[in-house]
Amino acid sequence: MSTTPYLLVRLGESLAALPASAVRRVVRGARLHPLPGAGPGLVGLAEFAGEPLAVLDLAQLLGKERRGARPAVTVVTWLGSGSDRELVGLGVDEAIEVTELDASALALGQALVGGRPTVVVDTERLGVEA
Amino acid sequence: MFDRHALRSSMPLAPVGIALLTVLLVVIAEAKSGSSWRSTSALLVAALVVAAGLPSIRRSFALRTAKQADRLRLIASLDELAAADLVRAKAIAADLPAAFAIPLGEALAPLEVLATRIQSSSVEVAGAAGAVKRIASELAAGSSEQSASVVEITAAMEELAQTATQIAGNAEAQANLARLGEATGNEGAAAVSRAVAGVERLRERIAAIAKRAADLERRAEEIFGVLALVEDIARETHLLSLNAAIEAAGEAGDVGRRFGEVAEEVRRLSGRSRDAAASVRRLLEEFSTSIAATVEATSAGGREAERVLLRVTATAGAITGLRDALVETAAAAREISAGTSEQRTASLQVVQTLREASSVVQQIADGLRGFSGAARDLEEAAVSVQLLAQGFRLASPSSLRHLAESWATELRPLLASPDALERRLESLLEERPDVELVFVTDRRRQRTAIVGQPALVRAVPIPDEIRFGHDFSDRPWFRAAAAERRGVVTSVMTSILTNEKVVTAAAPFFDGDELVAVLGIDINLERWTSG
Amino acid sequence: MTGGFLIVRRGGVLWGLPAEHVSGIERVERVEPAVSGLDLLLTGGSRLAVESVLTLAEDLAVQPLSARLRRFLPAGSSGLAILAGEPIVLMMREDDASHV
Repeated sequence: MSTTPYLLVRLGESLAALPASAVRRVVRGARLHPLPGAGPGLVGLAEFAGEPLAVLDLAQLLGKERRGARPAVTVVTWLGSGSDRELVGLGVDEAIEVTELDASALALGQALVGGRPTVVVDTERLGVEA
Repeated sequence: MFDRHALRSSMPLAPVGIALLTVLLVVIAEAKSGSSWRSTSALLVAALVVAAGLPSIRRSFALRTAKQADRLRLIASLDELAAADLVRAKAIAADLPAAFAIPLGEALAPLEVLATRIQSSSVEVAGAAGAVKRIASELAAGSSEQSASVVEITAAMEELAQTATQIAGNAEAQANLARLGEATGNEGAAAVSRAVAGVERLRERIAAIAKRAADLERRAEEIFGVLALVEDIARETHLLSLNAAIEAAGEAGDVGRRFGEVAEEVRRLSGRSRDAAASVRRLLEEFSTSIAATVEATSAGGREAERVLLRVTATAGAITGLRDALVETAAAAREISAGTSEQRTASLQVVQTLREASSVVQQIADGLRGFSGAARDLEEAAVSVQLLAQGFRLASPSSLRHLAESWATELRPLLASPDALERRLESLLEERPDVELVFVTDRRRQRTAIVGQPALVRAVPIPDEIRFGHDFSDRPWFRAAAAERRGVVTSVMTSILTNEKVVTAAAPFFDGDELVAVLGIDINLERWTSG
Repeated sequence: MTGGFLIVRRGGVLWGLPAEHVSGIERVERVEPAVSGLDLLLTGGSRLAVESVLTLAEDLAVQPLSARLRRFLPAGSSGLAILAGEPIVLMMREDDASHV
């Protein structure tokens, strides 16, 4: 049974898993500039490695209810694939650990991690209209 | 003594993580086989930009030719860091080429400074908490005595009031009355003087408590400050381990696997620190609530004592008047009847006042007992932080892990000669009066050298059968040292020699993979903290 | 004006637009909000109200917005850049300013 590494993150009370191969860096305390007039999915703009980085709210993107507090941790992630690939910040409440999931998890979109249901995120399709 | 904000600004935490991460990124980039110069340099440039401000990193272009041996040494250094052994981590790092050694050294230096400060300040705070606890007990004991003597005085005055009532109307007892009046009047006045002096002493003690309570609040603040820093380290370390694991995940082969394992160890270390800090924080928060309540109660008690003091002083005047009235009214019957009514009223007033005084003193004694409880809680919290800080091994006199490792290094050549070993143990014991017992159990030779502080073993001698053939392998200090393969510190236990609290620092002697002996050092917690 | 991007502050955020789209700058007193500010006169004919003009940036590294990010950023944004560590939203197309 082959497995792939995923970064486990917490969004409020629920869990999500991001493929580790798509994650560039986990950053805490990044300086976020909010944009009035932007949609609820955008937490703000930041700077990463000398480039501008748009930080999106992962909970919003996955269609979950958003509580008051701003996401404390930014996961700098490659979204899309091939020539379409771009670096985007995903705002989460907490980055927990890197764990191995079965290779089928991505196709299923779901997995059980430590008994808890976890959304497995397809970073190639995230943020694009269904 | 310990300004959290000053410490933060002088020791930025972010560059610690960034520097270590930079080293990891660069080495992994180098370990990628078949990668083009362009992608490797892109990674390097990213690392450079991120770690702007560390000029030594710019020399990292030389890392392209880093040797496998150096990479393995880097992994070993990070292994030691995961085990919180900063002494070994630094020693291994020093052997690396400058391009690795310098950024790693820069990352380790602030960690070392911080851990050293935490270790030494936590010992001081625990000592202060112990001293406060002792004083609180003394104060509580003293005021119980006070309370008891006020109750006695009240009883005597009540008798006087009753006697005066009984004698009223009995003309034949006029002479007796006069004599009685003089005697009880004198006693009553003396009793009131004693009460006045007692309340005065009590007021002084309450002022002392209020000052100690303020000290305790400050100490609790300091411990909160230390805790916040420990929590910060745990968070930063956790983040570091995540990013290392993410990099390792993209890396097939042995180097990637080793990095992944090290990253996991570091993550677990941060989890343990975070959990320990959380439980100390809970203890401290309970303590803070109870000390605030006690401070409030003792202030109220102080104000009450003031009021009682004024009333009791006024009563002294009333008693003198009472005595004079008793003597004067012995001559005339009508005057006697009138006089005994006055006596009765005056006596009752005195009794009432003394009852109030007794009640206030009782409340104060109760408040002081609560304070002792709070002081005990603080000492427990301070000791927990002190032991939490001992998780680091540092080249510092406050580090018990370092004590065990350095004594083990010294004693190793003497394992073959039991006499020389015992003599050395005796001289080590002389240097450290806070150590109760030191022992080396040699598995190969099936014997144990064991030496205790002379004063202690005179009272509780060590039985001979312990020295020969006794198996210590089930003891917690033995198992921990054998499993960790390095210096360890056990949790608090009770000493068989002194019945006081001790911790055991232990270190193993390995010959390759074979465990040949274990060194154990029993440290008396109270003497270590106050010494 | 020609060449480079004009960097302005609007609503607490830095915006940038190509200098060649700006034909002039006017100081105005506004009733609502009751604050004086600046109006950029644009070559398309419209005006853009801004709080201040910061600088003209000649060598800005521009990151055009992907289709993905365009859904999340305000209307009128078409790119991102960085100046002295601060992110800038770019209105690169001539009609962007009319949507803001």
